[in-house]
Amino acid sequence: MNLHKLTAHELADKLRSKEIGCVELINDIYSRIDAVEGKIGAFNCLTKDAALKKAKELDDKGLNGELSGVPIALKDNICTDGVKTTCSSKILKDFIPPYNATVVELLQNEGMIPVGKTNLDEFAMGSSTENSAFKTTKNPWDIQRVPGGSSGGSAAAVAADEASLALGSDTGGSIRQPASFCGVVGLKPTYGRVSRYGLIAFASSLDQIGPLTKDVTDAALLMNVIAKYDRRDSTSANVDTPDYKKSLIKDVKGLKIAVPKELMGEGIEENTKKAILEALKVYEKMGATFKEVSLPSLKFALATYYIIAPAEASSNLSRYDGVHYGHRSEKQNDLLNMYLSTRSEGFGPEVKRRIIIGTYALSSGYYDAYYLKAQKVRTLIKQDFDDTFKDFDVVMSPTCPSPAFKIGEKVSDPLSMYLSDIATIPINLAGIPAISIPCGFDNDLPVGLQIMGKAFDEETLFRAAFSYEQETQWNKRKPEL
Amino acid sequence: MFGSCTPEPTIYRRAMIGNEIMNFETVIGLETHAQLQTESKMFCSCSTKFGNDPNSNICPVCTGQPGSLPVINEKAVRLAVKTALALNCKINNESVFARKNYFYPDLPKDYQISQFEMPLAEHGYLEIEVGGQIKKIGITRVHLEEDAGKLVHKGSAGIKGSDYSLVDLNRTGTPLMEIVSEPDLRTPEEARVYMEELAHILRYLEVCDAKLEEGSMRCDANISIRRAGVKELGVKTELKNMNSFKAVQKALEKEEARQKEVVSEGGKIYQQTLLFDEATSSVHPMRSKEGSHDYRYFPDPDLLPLYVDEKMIEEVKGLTGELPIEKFKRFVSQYGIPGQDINVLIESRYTADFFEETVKLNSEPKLSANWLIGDIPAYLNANNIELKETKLTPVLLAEMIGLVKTGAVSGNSAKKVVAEMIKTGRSAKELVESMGASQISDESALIEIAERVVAANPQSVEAFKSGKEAAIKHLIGQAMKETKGRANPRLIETLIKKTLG
Amino acid sequence: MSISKDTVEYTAKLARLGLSEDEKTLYAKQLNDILGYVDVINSADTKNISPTASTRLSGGKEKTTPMRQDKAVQFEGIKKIIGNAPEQEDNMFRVPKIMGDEEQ
Repeated sequence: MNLHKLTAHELADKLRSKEIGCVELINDIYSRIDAVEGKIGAFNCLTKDAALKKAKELDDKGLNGELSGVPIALKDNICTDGVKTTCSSKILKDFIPPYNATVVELLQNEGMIPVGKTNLDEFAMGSSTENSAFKTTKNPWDIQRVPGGSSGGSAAAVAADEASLALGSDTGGSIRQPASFCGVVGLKPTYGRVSRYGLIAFASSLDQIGPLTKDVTDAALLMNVIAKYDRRDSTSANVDTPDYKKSLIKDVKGLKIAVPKELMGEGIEENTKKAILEALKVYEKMGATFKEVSLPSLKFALATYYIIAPAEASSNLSRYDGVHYGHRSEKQNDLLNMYLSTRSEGFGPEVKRRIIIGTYALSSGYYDAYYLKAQKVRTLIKQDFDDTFKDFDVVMSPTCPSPAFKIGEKVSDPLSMYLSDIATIPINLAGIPAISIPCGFDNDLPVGLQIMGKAFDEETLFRAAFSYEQETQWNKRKPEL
Repeated sequence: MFGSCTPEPTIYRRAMIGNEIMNFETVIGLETHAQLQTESKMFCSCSTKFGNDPNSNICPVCTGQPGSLPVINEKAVRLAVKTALALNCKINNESVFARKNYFYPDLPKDYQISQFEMPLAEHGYLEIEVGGQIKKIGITRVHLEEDAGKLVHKGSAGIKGSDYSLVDLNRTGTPLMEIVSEPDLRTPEEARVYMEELAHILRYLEVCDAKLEEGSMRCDANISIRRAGVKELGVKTELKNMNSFKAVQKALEKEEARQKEVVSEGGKIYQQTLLFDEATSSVHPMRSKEGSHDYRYFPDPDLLPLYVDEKMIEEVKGLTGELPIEKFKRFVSQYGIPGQDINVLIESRYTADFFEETVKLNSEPKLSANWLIGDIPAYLNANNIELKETKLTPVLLAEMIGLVKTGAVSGNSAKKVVAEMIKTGRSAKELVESMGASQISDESALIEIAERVVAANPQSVEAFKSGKEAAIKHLIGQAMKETKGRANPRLIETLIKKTLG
Repeated sequence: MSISKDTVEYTAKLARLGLSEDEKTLYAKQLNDILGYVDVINSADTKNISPTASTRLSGGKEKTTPMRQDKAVQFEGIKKIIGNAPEQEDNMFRVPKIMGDEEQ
């Protein structure tokens, strides 16, 4: 049985109708993992025993939620009580959290079954998963290429059918970009929509947890589970969560689409641009309209991000000091040297770079010129989006300037790696939601369409994405493994 | 003396220095950290109870576990607002929590959540009385932050020369309120008085139990000197580790003297931190590096701005009630009791309220005050309990005072009865009966006893009649003995005298 | 704004990162490239613009701060927290000797 090839909602239907059992499903998933994981390297660890135990329990006692019994992969920066959570960093390589992230509790209540923790760029800093201290995950479409990052493991696992769906985190594009590279659906919710409690922080004002799935329906169902107000997260929004299933209708008549010229200019590959224009024509055929617009402050987005994110990260990562948990250096004559060695041994180069930039941007004499200035420019970016949404319902662009690049291609040039996030970063700065959906191929490599929406308007995103998906069915094409 | 030329120049130089010293002005500012009396910590729900086993009141948030997030304790905010209002500050409707970044093992996140550019409250003042004058000391700001943990150093008495250290995070995350004064204090004595007054207010507001010895209140002092008339401030040094009000004054006196001596001899004051050593009553420089810290403050992105609206301010105002200084003024005019007595009465709000309740019932402010200043505290102190822990109530005390007034109980017996009331809460009437403490004030009964005593003690009668006034005391004593202390002393004395003619 | 090797060293010290000489040289170069790029924000007109510290919606017209009731709750997994200590003694986290120059 090729249960692993099905979407989560298809599996949920079969489980509910008792056509299949949970144990059967979980065994099938792990068989698939055994078959392809050697090639893909999506997981840092697998939790087979716990998964089978949970599956048996559900088979015995019955399902308790819409996605009950469905196997899910979790990015390894989401805290799981009793299960190693490493952020793909040496400094946390043996760290076992003493508590569960809120999203994990929500998944458990729903009866979903975590199958393992997926690989990521160390501390979610990167766009290729090559910054992982443990291994490089491969793109299932071409194992010479990166799956994207930082949620590369989650995206690859879903694309390779090693999990029916996955959770990732997105700070500057870390769900959407790997989704685009791996030909899957990836959503970054509005900032505050999904609790960050238990998400190991990278940049607190930008991070969000979100779904990576095989189709838009799965993303909507998973959002129904995780998009809940959480008192333990002071940045969690106390707003009602709509039933996103209701947004899964094929109707975009009258939908007004804005296309920023800044995100369709030079730097975007021709084939990618073509795919996006084709997609816009499909929307037009379905009754929507699109128009080119300008969001002038977008030219500052990358620079703004690369001040704010490292600044917050430099503070968030101070706690990894060898005192209370995590790696501690053997060289410890005294406290100061223990700090210096522990952090030097424990962090990889990209993390160190960002800590230094961030510390510098916050330091005395530079705070105003860098951090404060960047926060003001952030206001301009948000304003540009707010203004655009006065006249438009959604904004669209390519998710990435090009399809997946080769492993090793950008590793030695950090700046060129950063530039690949040019379309995704502004969304995190503005705090608005965005979804990436497959919209075509360039030399057999997936291309992603990014749809951005108003704050807390994931409903329109789902409707627009679902409509396109129903019309084009790009998601049905799978990598050959 | 002749020959040596040193005496005169020395005397001259000393006089010069004396003049110089007299022309210096001392400038002192104080930073106080007060632990707020909340049930739980500032950003998590761990208990703030003191004295538990190491690391027994901890959780993912206060131990800075990866992925944990802070949530503000509302009570801590209200207590800080209450304090700021009592210190006449302006409350900022919007203030910001900021991260203060530095590395230390008692700070698990390696940053402290505090307030920097936009504190909760600013621009207030506190009045102190020094040498009969009332002086206003400016309060620059009041803000909220979290406390760090405790370190135990092994291998030596303190951190110096230790082999290793142990970290207890029970205290980490406890709500702290920082109160910064303007550099308006001019003498070490003023500084001590300021600290005492501030501690009194904090205790009165039930915001902090304000004990320097226990660390629930901590004091850091900044001190500098300048020549009289000069506007610019001199270089200041920082003093730490003053664990009593006396220590605050002593430490500042020592440092003030040191600075004056250095400057008088043409030297310069360098910015440094000094620790007060209780044992030797002296100040020593701390062994850490020079230079200021770069804390890289920035608004904490895990928290929203702290919005304190007028509604909350009004609610807090309504619950605060009268402040010590207001109560003092009112008691003076309303009850006409001496100022130093009022101070004792209003030391705690409970006692002040108790007093007023009692006076409402018996309209006897002086008598009621006497009890609450004298015998009752004496008993409480001897037994190490507080008034609010006892069974004594204003109703009971008023009743007792009433009985003494009518002569039903003598003053001495009353003390014993009150002690029982404190323990048992039983009524005065009940206790007087059961203890047999009622005073005999019945003339007809007492006259019999007076006659009996006079008849039985001819020597004393002789002595008295021949002019020895004191002899009557023996007769009164006998009468008291016979009545087991219950005779109304004034009445029996009168009756004995009458009997003697 | 150009960043020298000394600045990298000072900044790394602030962040308690021990760097080798090679790392200092490499990072100085890479950081200069990055900072050279981010300097573009200087051309943004932010007069009268207030900074965005958080994009969180206040969930209503009045501004409210999420706060919690002052109630003490015992965390069930305390043993797990101590259990993660790299070194412990007497149920406390043990650290190497503090020389007094850690606080900068």
